[in-house]
This record gives sequence, C-alpha cells and structure tokens, in this order.
Amino acid sequence: MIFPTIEFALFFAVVLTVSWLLLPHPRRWKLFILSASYFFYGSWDWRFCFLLAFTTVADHTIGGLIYRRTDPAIRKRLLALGLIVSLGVLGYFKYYDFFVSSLINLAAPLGIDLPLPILNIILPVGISFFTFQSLSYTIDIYRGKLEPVPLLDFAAFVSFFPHLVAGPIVRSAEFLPQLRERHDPRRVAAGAAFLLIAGGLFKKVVVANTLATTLVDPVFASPASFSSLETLAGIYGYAVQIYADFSGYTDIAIGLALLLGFRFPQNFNRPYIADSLQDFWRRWHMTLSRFLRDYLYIPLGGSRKGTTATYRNLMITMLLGGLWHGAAWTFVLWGGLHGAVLALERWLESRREARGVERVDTLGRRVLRRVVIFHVVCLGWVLFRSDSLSSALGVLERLGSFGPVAAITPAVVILIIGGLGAQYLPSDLRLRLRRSFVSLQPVPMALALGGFLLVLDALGPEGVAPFIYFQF
Amino acid sequence: MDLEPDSWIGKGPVMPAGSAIFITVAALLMGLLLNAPDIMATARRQEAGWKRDLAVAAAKPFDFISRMLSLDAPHNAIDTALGRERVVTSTTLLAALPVTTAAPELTTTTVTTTVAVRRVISATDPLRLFIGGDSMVGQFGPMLANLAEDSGYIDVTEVVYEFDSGLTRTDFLDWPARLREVSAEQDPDAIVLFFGGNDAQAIQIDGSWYDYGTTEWLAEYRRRVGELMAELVADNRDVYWMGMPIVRSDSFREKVATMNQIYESEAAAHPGVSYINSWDVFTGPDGGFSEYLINDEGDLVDMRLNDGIHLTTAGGIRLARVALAEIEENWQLP
Repeated sequence: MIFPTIEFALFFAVVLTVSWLLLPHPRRWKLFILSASYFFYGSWDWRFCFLLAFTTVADHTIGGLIYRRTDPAIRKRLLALGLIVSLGVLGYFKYYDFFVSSLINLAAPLGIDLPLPILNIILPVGISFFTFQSLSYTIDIYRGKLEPVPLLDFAAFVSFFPHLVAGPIVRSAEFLPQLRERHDPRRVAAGAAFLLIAGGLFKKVVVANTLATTLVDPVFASPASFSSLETLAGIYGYAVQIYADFSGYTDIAIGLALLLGFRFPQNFNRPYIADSLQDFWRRWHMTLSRFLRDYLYIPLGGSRKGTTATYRNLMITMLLGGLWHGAAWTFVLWGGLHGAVLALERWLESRREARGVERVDTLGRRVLRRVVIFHVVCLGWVLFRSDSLSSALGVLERLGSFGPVAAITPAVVILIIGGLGAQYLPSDLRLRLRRSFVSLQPVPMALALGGFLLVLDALGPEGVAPFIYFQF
Repeated sequence: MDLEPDSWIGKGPVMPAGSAIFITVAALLMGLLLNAPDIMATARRQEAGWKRDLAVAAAKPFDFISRMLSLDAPHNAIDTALGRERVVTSTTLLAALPVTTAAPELTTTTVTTTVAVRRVISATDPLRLFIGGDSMVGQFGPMLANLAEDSGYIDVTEVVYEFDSGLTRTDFLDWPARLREVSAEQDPDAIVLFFGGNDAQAIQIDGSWYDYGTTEWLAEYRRRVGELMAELVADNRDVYWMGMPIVRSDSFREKVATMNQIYESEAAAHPGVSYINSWDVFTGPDGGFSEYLINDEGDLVDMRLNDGIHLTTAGGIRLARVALAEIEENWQLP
C-alpha cells in the first residue's frame, strides 16, 4: 500500500476519522494507530511485522534498562548491546549477502574459497528508517535527553505509518512528547497539510514518474542508445526525479501526520540552490544529515580533534551514510565522493582563513558555485542510480558521444527546467501561493483538491512506481 | 518546490478536525467521480478474485454516475489535448548501440527447430529483431539489444515491455494483436518474447473465470501460447520464447515450472520456435534459487532483484548472452 493509490486514500480517510473520534481516549487511540500502522506495514509482507515488533521491544527494553542503571560502565555495555541488536538486525537483513559476496570475490583471486553461504535474504521495506528511529530512543535515554515511555507509546512512535517506510527520520525526542500532548480537535492545520500532500503527490506522480518512464530509465538501462545531450538530460532528469520522488514522499508524510495532529521535522529545503556541498546536506534529506551528524560524526570527534581527524570523520560519516542507502559499492562510492568534496571544501576554507583572505561573494561567484555543486551532486547521482561502477562509467562515457536529441521531448524539458527552476522561486512568492490556498474555506478547498486529483490522474503516467527510497 | 520551510510546518490558519475530515472525504469523492473511468479500468485490471470483485463493485456506481453526468468529460478532454490513449502505458526502449561484452559460455537446454527459409544476413542487410513481453524484459531486453547491435548483424527494431501484461489477461493488453501490429509495421525476421511473470492468475474463457492450475486454465493457456506461436511462425518469423527463470517463492516456482513446460512443449510442436531455458541459467550451486551467481568474469554477483523474480542488470546480461547465442546459431551469424 503506497501513498498515491486509492487503497491508501480510503485507508487514510478511515484512520483520520477514527483517530479524531478516539482522541478523548488516549490508550484506545494508541492501540488503534498501532493496529493501523501494522496493517499498513503488513500490506507489503505481514512476516516483517514480527521484525518491526522485535526491534521495538528490544530497543524499548534496553532503553528502560539503561535508564534504571546508574553505573556508567553498565550503561555503556547496555548501549553497546542496543547498538548490536538494532544494527545487527539491519546488518543481517540488508548487508549480509552483500558483504559475504564481496568477501568471496576478494578471496577468490588469492585462491581462497571462503565457505560462506549466500542466504538470499529479502530486504524488509523501510528497515533502515525504522531501525534508526528506534535506535534514537536508546541513545537519547543513554544521553539523558529522554525518559522511558510505556511500550505502547514507543511502539506507536516506531510504527507510526506516515514515517514508517521512508521517513522523515523522526527522533523519539521529537515524537514521544507529542503523544502526551492534548491535541485540540478545533485546531488542525489542515490547509498546510493538504497543500503538502497535494504538492507531494504532484511531485511523485507527475514529475518523478514521467521523467523516470520517458527518459531516465531508458538512459540508465541502455546508455549506448543515447547521445551526449540525451545522456546529460537523463542525468539532470534523474536529479529532478529523485528530488521529486523523495521530497514528494516526505511532503505527503508530513502532511498526513499534520492531519492526524502531529508535527514532523522538515526534510528538504530546495537542495539544488546549495552553493556548497555542506549547504546541500543542510537542505537534502535533512533528518538523515542531522542523525548522522548527532549520532555518528560528533561522537567520532566531529571537527574538535584537529584537521586530519575532521577529514577522517567526514569521510567515515559519508561512507557509512552512502552504505546506509544500499548494499552496493556504488552507494559507498557515492558517499566517498560526497565525503571527499566536503573535506575539500573544509580544506579550501581553512586555507583561505589561514591566509586571512576575505571571502568575496559576488553574484557571479555564487552562480558559479551553485552550478559546480549541482554538477558534483549530479555526478554522485550517476553512481547512485547505476547498479555497478561499469554501468556508471558507461553513462558518463556517453557524454562525449554527440548525436541526435530525439529523447529530449518538450515534456522532459519542461519538467527538468520547472523542477530546478521552482527551487529558485522567491520566498515571498512561495508564501503568497501558500496563503492563497490555506486561507480557503472548507468547501472551496475540497473543490480545489478534487479538481487537483483530476489533473493528477490525467497528467501522470499509468500505474504508480514505488518510491525510490522504499528500497533503503 | 518546497512550500513548507520548517518555520511554516503546522503554522497558519487552522480548522476543526471535522472540517478536515469533510474536505478529505469530499475531495476523494470528487476525485473518484472525475476519474471514474480510469479507476474502473484499474479495478478491472486486477487479478481475478474477491479483491477485484470488490474493487469493481465499488467503482461501478462512480463510473455510472460519472458517465451519466458527463463528469468524465474533463478527463477525456485533457487526454485528447495531450494526445493520450489511456489504455496502457508501454515502456519502449530504442535499439541500443554497441556495448563490448564477452561471449556467453553458459550451457542451456534449448529445443530448437528450423525455419524453412532463412534469408542471408549481412552487415548491410542485418537481421531485424523485435524484443517484447512483460516486465521481465525490463532488464533483459536492453541488454540483449546492446549485445545484438554489437554483433553488427542485428538491427533491433524495438524493445517493448508492458508491466502487468501477459497472455492470461488479454482483456488488459492483447499481446497477439499488438504483435500483429509489430509484424505489419516492423516486419521483424525474429521475435524474442518473454512472458509468465503475471500469467499465474485466473483466466477468462467465454465470460467465466477459471483459477490458475485448473484443467480449463491449463488448456486455455496452452491454446493461447500455441496459437500465438503458430501465427508468428506462419509469417516465416523466427520466434525465441524465453522460459521464466527460477524464482524465490516456493509456490510461484511451481507455477512458473508449469508454465515453462507449456512453453517448451508448444515450442517443440511449432517449427520455427526456439525455447530458451532461463530457469537453469539462474539456478544456484544446489539447483535452487540463488540471488547471487558467478558471472563470466568469475565474480559472485547479485543477479536478481529483491522480489526474487525480476533480474538485475547483471542478470539481464547473463540471460541476454544465452538468447543471443541461440539467435546467432540459428541464423549462422559470424
């Protein structure tokens, strides 16, 4: 059951109604939302509900044990146990076959036949997301930022269906207090929620799906069939597609949560206007960036232990961030590219500061920086989209093969330019657009949304492809 | 466009939950009415069973009201303006340019028959090859196209794959009719077909549905496969029928094996049709399903997608090499 389907729309209409009806009964509400979330998750494969339940119970139990202990050594050991259990589950389901096959391939040229079995493990949907969210509870309790909550509350948080399979990565410290708040049924930010949902649906169904089916998939499946300009359009198209796909999903998730009375953190903020890679990561998948920063980069030492250590920490964080996305070396390379460029930016900045040179920030330089960073990001997307390094090189090689541009249709051009151009819309214009919708009365708002569903269905390609980030 | 910077999330005008529910339900009802014909088509396309029956029954009143009040007119107008025929969206890949790859070394079981007359193929007058089928073609088709074009003796006229299609649900997409069009328009010398991923579902015969595996199902499916083969070879076209590869799911594996038996025996009964045994190409060392297999370079590589059915690019290349070897042998290409 994925968001842009009638099944989900009907499911949500029922959940929304019952949820507000059960509001005066918190315990019943939690049991209901827990059941609805497990139903939602079980619609992919019911067997994985047991995995979700196991992760939930394990982290809740370990979090409680950490809170009750005062001995730092024991607390540390319990935290380590929590990390081993959560990351062990993630590692087994997501990385076991990948690492075993890599080890076998590494040992084979040395004449070593490693007797390691390939287990053909099925990757559960959203495991990377709910593992991180669940893990944040144990770590936050260890850090003294959070007190244990009843299992029902924690289970409702981990499985809460709007963020369950592809984020945003909501921390326990952000969500659990909202469970204890009394939600006022007279004050629902529905206008903002509907706008987010409609925008997210448009991004996914019209922009991402159209670009994928008409240009991106063919270019990456068979790059040799396309000329340099078509390949370049395919790469730009993928940049827009993955943004529209993923930010569209999280916009819908944030909107659904708002309708149910919950506030999720922002996950995207016009990433392609970034003028440095550091800026890009403050705008792209922001909840992952801050998770990696707070739970990996800073514990590693961050930038506090000297220049070399900072570069090392950046690289480790980005390599693991890359691997988090998928069990393939292309994701590791993608993370490595980002880590290297982030380190390079740091080095250039420290060199400039050491020389005492003032940073000159003209319009021309800003534009140049944005263009360069966008293309670095696009280079990364080629690795991200390709299933092997040779496939990625095959795509990049085509950039030097001039030829016809038949694949670059007007629709493709509009979607790419529109997708990138929309990020440069001034804030006040975006605010005006938003105000004009959220201030509508219920009947005109319903009519506008009904009309929007017509446009959505008419403009989008037939069928709905799963969201790209579901595989992570 | 991100319309909701952090400072905006949840801010702005608010309304009672009842109004939010009203808007949700009213917008959905309006959407259902305005898009009713599309929704009905989607419901009908589902696999036969109670879910389909329920979906069709639920969509029927909306479809009726929508058509009666001409509420479907705006959708139709948009479709007309965009030049769309909303039956099914195909994914068509252009024929590929050369890609350097090693020759296949896999051994397969194939049932090959010979065509009465085969024209002489040369670099200046290459073999015209069409590749089509369901989503299994998604990774395999482009890889075969790349390898075929690389040979210098094959011109791939088109690679087409249609999600959810096959030979069971001809009400959704009539592949025999589509292939008649392909034959007329492209006049391919050879046709590679790959079906089965969506075919293990109830089949409709004279208005009645028959579950997969029943005597009626098996007879009807065999008839459809045989008729399609006969029709294609009657035009003196060379047909390469891809069997389904071994799959992860035990229950689906049995169904796939049954369909493969039908393909193989029908191919044997129709001269001009070669059955390509994909099953064996993807079995692991123990003869069972394995996501990872050793490729021609000796590396253990992920050949199957997470669904345990479709192929990865590496899997597509592996199977494409087998199919191309068969085509080259039949046509005695250098």
